Amino acid sequence: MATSLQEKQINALKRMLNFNQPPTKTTNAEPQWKVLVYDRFGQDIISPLLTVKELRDFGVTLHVSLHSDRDPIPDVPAIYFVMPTDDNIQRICRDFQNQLYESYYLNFISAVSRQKLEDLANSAIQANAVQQVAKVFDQNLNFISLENELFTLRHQARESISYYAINKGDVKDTEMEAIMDSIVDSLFSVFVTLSIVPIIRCPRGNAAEMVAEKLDKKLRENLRDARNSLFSSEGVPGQFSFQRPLLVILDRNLDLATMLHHTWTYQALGHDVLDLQLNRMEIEEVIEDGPTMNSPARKPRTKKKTYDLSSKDKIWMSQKGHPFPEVAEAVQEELNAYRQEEGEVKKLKAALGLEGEDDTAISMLSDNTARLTSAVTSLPELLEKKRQIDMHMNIATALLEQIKARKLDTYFETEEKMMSKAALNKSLMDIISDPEAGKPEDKVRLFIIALICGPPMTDAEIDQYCVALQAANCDISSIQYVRRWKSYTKLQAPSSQYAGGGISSTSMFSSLLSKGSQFVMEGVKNLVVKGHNLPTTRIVDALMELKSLPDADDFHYFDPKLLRADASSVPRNKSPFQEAYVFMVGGGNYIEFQNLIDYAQSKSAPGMQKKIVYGCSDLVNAAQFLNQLSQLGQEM
Amino acid sequence: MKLYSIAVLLKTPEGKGKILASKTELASFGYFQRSTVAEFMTFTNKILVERTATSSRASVKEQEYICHVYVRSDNLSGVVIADHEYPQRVAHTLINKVLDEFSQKCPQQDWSKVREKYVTII
Repeated sequence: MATSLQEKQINALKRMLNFNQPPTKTTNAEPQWKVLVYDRFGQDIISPLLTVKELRDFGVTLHVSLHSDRDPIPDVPAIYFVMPTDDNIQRICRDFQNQLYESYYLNFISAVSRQKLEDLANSAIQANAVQQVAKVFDQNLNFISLENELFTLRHQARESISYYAINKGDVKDTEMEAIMDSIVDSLFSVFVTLSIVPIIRCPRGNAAEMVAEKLDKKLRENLRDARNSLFSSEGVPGQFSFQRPLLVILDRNLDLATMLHHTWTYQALGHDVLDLQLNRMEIEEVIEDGPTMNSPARKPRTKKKTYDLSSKDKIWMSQKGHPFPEVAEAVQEELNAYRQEEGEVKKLKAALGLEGEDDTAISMLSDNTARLTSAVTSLPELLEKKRQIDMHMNIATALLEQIKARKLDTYFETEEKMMSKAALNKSLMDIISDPEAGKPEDKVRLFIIALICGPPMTDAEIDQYCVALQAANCDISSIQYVRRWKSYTKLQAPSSQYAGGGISSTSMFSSLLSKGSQFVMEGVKNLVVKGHNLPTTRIVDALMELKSLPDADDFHYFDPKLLRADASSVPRNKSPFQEAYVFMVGGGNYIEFQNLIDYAQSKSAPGMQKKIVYGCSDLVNAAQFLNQLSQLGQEM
Repeated sequence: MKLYSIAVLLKTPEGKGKILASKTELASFGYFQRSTVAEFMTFTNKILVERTATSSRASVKEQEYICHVYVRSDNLSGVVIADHEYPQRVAHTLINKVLDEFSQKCPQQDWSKVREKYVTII
């Protein structure tokens, strides 16, 4: 039974690929051949969920982009998975006229308007293609789910709803409405896919409030519409939770420091350093074609390799939230375990080779056969495991190179200390003026976090730092923006929001070196992070547990199922929430995600699972976010 | 060089500032910050007029903005909020002009009867 958002989305896609009927056993065995036509949004939605091989299994022989030149394939049905924009509709009308396919199954990612439906119908009549249009569906799948607990709204077209787009200066009302509407539409489709009507809470006075009000209105209208409601309860067999989940909509302006933070956990590092996108990473790898890699005479050739990190990869799923040194150790252990199993298989081969010569071996024949069969069946698993281990080794090595080159561990340690208001080992000015430590953007990130979380600085001090930063080739327009941002957000003791953490660094990686590992982590501190809660997590905690927190008390409360839209409703829940969906308007990242997941796990007791799903309008890493801040600073 | 707001106020006999007309240019601020900024400007305008003596001018620096205020002898006052680069002389000339036009369009006896923010002639 599919319970998570991602599984439900996959099921919806599978149903769509089966011509909008639930898949039965016969269709699984012998699928009908079809062509899949998608646009950019459709591509982003499908690519983290179904691999090309899985698409083949469903009978998709050819998948093409909507706006490419396509040849007619007259005998095959075509499934379209596109957004109902004007461009797309016109292109579909042209397809009708060109008689490209045998039949058309049109699946619109979000609800298509009446006007556009009529346009489509008109052109189908003109092209004499009415019989060929088999089905037209609103799929309401306008979001990208990357993992069971993580979803985002846009990938390829993300500039339209980024932090920059929402916070820049000259935004007209119509533009803002359009942005908010697209975010609300996506959130609406999330809850339609889940068939749940949540209770909504949001802060006042910013983009989150606008999104929450519109979403509440949309859900309310949909529920009232008795003929057409998407939330009929008969479609949810076996759903035993009587409590509705909580939807917390937050605005990025609540917390900028998390976006710029240097991180230490595996997945977040991959996103920050190696640009993890839609669960995929690209690494430049050195091809070893000489006996030693360190021969200076030959310049190493590099090649770009793409790695897919899916939920089926056990190493990834268990390690992605762990700090980097633990990951390195874990991969090392897996490698040792694999070598052991490989050794056993080899021993088996050797033992069988002696069969004819050794009498005692014959008596063990049946035993050996059993072992042989088990070895043979486990061989594909072993090969797969080897591939995964290789992949993680390569990723970890690439990460390690970057960490050493940019001294990311120093940055991480300093930022953690600033956030927990502990004394710094090296002063801020030292790190900024150090030419070896990190790229210019690393320094700007560090300074902005110091501005936000550290002790208050006078204007003169800030200017001093700016001079030092400019000497180190940094772009300081983002700092201007952050200064203005600070004066706007009525921050009530912001530094306390990050508190409760701590960091202890132990020296070199002695244990790892003694195991003869490939990872030479000399000079990289083994930093142990004590758990601490980011502002987002604290607010979610307060809302879920119904605790009182000065930041969260002032939040709006929306319940779309209430009969009257009461603007000043008081929260009516008496018991803490077990399930929450946290949505961040204006961009999010893996650090926040991991923090929420860790919090949920720490609060879960057996029998009382706390589930938190994190979503954001788009996933930005620190470099991209810094760019947006710089742009905002320049335009001020 | 930017001009953020122009406002005409009356310094009432009790010493409070009453806004008769104002206009703001908030396009350079983020969409969701505009209401906060507008409130802040209203508040600043009132406070400045309250604290400035009659028949005097002042230019006050507040974060990145400079507020130029002039309270006339008949208690009609004008406040202009601009950035650092906007020259002071020009700002005060602007206030004078605005106040002259305002007193032409709206006669003096009406000032105390007018509700807040009623007149928009700018």
